[in-house]
Amino acid sequence: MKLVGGALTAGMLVLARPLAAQRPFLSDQVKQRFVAIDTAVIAITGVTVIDGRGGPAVRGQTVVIRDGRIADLGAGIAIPAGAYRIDGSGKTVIPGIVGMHDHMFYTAAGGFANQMSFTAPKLYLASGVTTVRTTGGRSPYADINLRKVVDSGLAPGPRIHVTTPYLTGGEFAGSMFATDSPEAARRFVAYWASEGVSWVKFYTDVSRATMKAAIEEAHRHGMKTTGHLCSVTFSEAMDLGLDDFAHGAITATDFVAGKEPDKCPTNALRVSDSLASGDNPVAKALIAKMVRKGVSMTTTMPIYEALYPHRPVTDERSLELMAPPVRAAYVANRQFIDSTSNYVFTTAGFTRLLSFDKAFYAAGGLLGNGVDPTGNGGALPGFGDQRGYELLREAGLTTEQAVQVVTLNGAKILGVAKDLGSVEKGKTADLVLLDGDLTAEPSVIRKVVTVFKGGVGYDPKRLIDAVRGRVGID
Amino acid sequence: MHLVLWAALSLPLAGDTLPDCPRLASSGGSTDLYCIELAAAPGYGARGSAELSWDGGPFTVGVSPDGTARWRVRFRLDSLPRPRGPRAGMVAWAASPAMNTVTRLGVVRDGTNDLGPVTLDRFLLLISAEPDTTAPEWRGPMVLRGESASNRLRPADNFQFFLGFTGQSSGMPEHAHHHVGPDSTGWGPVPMFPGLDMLGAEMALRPGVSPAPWPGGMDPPSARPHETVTLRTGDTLDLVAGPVLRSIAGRTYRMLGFNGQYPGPLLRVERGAEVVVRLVNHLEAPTTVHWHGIRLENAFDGVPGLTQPAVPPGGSFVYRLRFPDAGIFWYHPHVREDQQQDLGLYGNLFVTSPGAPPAPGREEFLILDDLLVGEEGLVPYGAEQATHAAMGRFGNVMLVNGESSWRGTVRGGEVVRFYLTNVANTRTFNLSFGEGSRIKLLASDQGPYARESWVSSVVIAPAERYVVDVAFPARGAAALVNRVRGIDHLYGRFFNVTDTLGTIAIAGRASPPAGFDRLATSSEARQLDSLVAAHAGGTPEHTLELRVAFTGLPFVSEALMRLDSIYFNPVEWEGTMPGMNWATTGREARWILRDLATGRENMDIHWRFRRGTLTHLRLVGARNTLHGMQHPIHLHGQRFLVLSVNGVPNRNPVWKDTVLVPAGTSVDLLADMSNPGSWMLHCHIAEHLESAMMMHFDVEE
Repeated sequence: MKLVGGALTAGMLVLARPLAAQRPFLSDQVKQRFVAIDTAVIAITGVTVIDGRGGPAVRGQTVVIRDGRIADLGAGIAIPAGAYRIDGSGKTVIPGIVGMHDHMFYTAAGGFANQMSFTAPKLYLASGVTTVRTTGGRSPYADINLRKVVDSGLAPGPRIHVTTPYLTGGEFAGSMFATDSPEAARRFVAYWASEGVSWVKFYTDVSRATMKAAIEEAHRHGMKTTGHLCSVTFSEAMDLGLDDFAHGAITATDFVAGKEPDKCPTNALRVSDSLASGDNPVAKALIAKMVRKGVSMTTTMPIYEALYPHRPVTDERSLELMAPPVRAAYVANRQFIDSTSNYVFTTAGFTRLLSFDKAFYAAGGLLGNGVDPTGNGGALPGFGDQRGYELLREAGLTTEQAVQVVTLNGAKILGVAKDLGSVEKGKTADLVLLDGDLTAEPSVIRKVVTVFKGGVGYDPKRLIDAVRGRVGID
Repeated sequence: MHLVLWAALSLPLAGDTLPDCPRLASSGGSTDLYCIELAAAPGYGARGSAELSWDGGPFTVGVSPDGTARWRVRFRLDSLPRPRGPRAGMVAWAASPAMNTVTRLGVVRDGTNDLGPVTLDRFLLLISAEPDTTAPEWRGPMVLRGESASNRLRPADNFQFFLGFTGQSSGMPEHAHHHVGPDSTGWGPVPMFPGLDMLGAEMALRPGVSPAPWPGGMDPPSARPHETVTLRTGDTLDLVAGPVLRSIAGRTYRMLGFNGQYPGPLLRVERGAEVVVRLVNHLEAPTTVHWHGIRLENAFDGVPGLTQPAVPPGGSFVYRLRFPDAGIFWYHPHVREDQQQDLGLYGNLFVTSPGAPPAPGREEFLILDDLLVGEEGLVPYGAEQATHAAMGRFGNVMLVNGESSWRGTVRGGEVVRFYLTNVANTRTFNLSFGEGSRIKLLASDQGPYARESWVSSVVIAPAERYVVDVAFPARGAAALVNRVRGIDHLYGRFFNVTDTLGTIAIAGRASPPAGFDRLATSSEARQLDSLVAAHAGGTPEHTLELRVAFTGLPFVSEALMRLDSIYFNPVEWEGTMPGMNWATTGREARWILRDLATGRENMDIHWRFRRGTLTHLRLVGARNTLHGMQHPIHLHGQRFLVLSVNGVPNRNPVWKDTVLVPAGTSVDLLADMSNPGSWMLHCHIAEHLESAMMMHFDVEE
């Protein structure tokens, strides 16, 4: 930057943005169409607060939001004059969900694969997801532009941490970027750093040498790295300095006996399905190393669930949002999965994967959650993030632990926990108001009343109505 | 505050209009394909554009030996940050998208910067602020960046869905995909492109015309290799067009030949000679002979309906030929070229110049062609209309002088002069002679270049001719290869295509001729240069836009065309959508020459010129048309110089009669309207000609 002379007008304006708290700018169109509460001071009274830090839920709380921040929090605190009052009795407040595998594209059975710059940000926000990491993009510039549009208040959506396009190995990888050259990987990372991208995403065929070079370059630029691995084992990746594992044990080829270096074994999924439980010795050693190295893991069980037989994944509210041909293709695919003997995944395998996530959490690992709205299309943006919470509960985490995973832990992994991720006085008011007692019933996570992003209350129903019948198309 | 911030970001920071590519835009070339907008990186107010510019020749498209497009880049930059420090500055780079290749283009400043070359299929152009401008790799922050139009090629959104959908809607029974014989329409399946996926629905397409019967006759003679016939003033030659049996790659086909030969006889005449050729038609269809490139008397130009009636089966026609220019020419029918010429009716005409210096060594006449062969034999031609009316019939068997495995022998170090003619229906070749061979380009259609030049490959479009001296290496093996980049439209990727047209054994030793390293300048160079200098900046008298209109295309064909129209390569080197191309006939496709001044199209255009005028013409390949591709445009009876391509002046002019107009590209010509009569101007892709892409003009005394 020291090279730069007088032509930096726009940049200086950005730097000169005042730090004083205030609600973000929103266009009139966004306000009129999607915002339910747009008042400087808001008080939610008599509500149960699960603050995201893992401690027990606290009932009968008042949460005061002022100028986009959590101004006060507690029982019996004074309600400022003129505050917009919300009766929170019978309701629960949790921090805004941090979605750690929340693509802006979507794929579904039948070969649908589409950038969803229109529907995805609305669905995320409607589901209580106020911050996402894209964790790989088919259309990187579309993701960057979407971030700009959302940050400028011209479209509703979560705070977006943009990831590079997928970096993998080999020659041609469709919309992914393939290279076997460490030098090219360094340039790739440096270029995307200059585009304001904050994470690097590796994919299944990257070599160790390429990954090493890319990680070094990423760290030089203050970026972090995650990956859907296969050619490189979890253990190798940690030695190379990887910061985060996308998905979970299903992508750990550490379980595959006789794995060749830098090669993605064809039987990796089957092996993981049968071995990757939390009490497997390989898993235990792996988890111990992950915790020792401080490497996070961002599980995406909702998308895997949709690919496993005999799981309760045919969800009416998702089906009615899908474009009709997408819906038909998904339903047909589920029928195929549930009716096929000797299918690649087993119901028991799904439980083993959940147990790995729980074991990692229990060992003190930094576990985050995300949807990964790909595969056969069963996990929609946002809805899948909520389903992730339910699956963490199924795995055996408490309500408070599961909330921690889907909120504060994500903020920690993203490095934004100072301001986001928990219900704490002084933090930015990214909050989700749920209808019901989340401690009593996990599915209350789906009953979003209002989503506050920077103290602005969005109406989930209006956001969802805007995307009805369009998921999978735009 | 946010409102203010947003407003500030949207305001132009300096100057009044956004930079663009004015030279390209005013030439009529496609700014969508060849002008890259450079966007400022976050925090910078710089602006700019990058024009992908023509390299100045000798061909109208710049290309590397492997077929990758090669560009010069004209950056127009504004409001770059001011460098701080003695070695600091802005540096431009070109990088492949995955950054596998990075080329340092050079230091740039505000204003116009001509840099290059860039030789990449798809790329990013980047400008970074460097603390040290001599750095081989960028270290500083990005200031401006842009991407080539070709980088829009990606696997399509919802592509596999599209695959399945079209497959289901085709109504094609399952087993049909494996059926190899003719179906009820009389058509068998078309050969797929090796290694590429084809949509089920595309495989189910059939042309909406009937297959033409094969050349008949009880017992056509087996064709024999061509003879050389030397003709002197007063001589008469009988040229008999008739069916022959041809043996190609171990299979026998009923094809056509002149005088039972393949190719037709090589006719040698001296410049200034006047000879008589009597065409005898032993075909089952009418025909004519067009003497391509010869500035002869109009009545003998061989265009049915314009200069003569077509010669009926059993009939004959007497052509009185005069040869005002020396060089390499060729002859072929001007009736259903897609069929008659493709089946073998073509030959070279070599006009020698009595005073010309002799070739440094041996001379070889190579006619390049391709033939489309399926499992059942040659893929039939359309009876009522041409098939392959979209991109033209790309063959899958390469022929040199009619042979599928041409072999040559040279001595190590020998220099051989090759006279190259492309008679393929649509294929443009990017020809080279193997590792270690040096190619000196001497001449083209109508005579020598202003200056001889070294080239790494020869780009030769249908009907073009080039003359090269090739110096072969001392040892090893050489080969005649066509190396191009194909596009897999379904997955949005480029891939290598290498066709070996022939092998050249190197045996023995020859000493290279003295002075071979020297590049000669033509005695006409000054005159040619001054013609270009005087006219290149001028205004064209006529502008023709080259485009296409389709009616009644099947859903899958239209969908594929739309997918394909995301990006048009300057040259469509390979037929990578074979089914859709094949099934599109002259019934669906209408290729158009549109006079932009009058809106008239094809044969409704009627230009008049006074004999002896030099006429500035502009040919523009349209971008905003469903299928844009290159067109080799041929002017009958006259010669012309290329003045400029996309506004970049030609630095090495040569008289020509056929010019390759790449997709989205503007080519300015200076036509020497010297020969009176009614003449054709048309695309020399045979199927485009069959689909109406022709017009005529008069040169009057």
